[in-house]
Amino acid sequence: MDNEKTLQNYESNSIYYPPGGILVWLLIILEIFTFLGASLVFMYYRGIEWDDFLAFRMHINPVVGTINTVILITSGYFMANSLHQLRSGENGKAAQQILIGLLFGVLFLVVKGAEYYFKIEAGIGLGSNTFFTFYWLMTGFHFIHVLFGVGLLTYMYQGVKSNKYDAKNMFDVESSATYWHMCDLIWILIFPVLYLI
Amino acid sequence: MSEIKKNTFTWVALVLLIILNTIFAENGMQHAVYFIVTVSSIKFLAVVYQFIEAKHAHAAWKALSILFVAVYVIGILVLY
Repeated sequence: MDNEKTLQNYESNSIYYPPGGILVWLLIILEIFTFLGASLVFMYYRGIEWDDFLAFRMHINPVVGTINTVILITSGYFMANSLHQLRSGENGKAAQQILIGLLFGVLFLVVKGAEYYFKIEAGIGLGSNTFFTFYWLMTGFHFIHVLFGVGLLTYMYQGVKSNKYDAKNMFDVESSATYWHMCDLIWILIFPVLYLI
Repeated sequence: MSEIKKNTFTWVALVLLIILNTIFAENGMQHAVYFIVTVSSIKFLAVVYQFIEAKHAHAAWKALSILFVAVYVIGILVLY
């Protein structure tokens, strides 16, 4: 779908053409509701094993989680900017913004990887207790989404840099950006549940 | 205001909210959960509306995102 058609559809507010396309939005709905369900089940078990959950929560560092949240939001910010640059026909700047967003995504994975390393070193695994079963599953699935997103952004970066995508042909970039923001949204949901509450 | 400026403003607000949320949670303030869940909802909607540009989308998509946030907030507070 070319960009002109996409913009016309946005302007007409068609229900079938949300930003990034309906398929990625259906994916977002599925993913978000899955993580919402996991968060609520986590809260349910937290109520049953109140003392244990509070004790095990002390083994994860909210400051590290906060740093990672800022990193991911910053990455999303650069990705959002890249779309506006691309629409303005500034491919070079758009590619630069995607690259910065991509590097922040990699930084998120590095920080998360370090967190996982220290957990494994301390002997905290998937089967250690209910709290950490949720921790590993929820953050692990999110990690895989970010990893896939980093691959997607790498592809988009190369595409924008080589002018494969431009102001008239940027639907794939918009869809990828929407997917990338979905990773932000999932993290926004699970971070307070696992790290703060 | 250009969209990039709006993005920058949203990003600064989000970073401040993220930091404020953690400070609130770590100081064990009374009723912190209400603050944390409310701030998380604002962050969610800010990303959906500004970064994903759902503000340009059909009202049904906007309504769906608000419905989702309502389920999240009510669910967390009921189970807390």
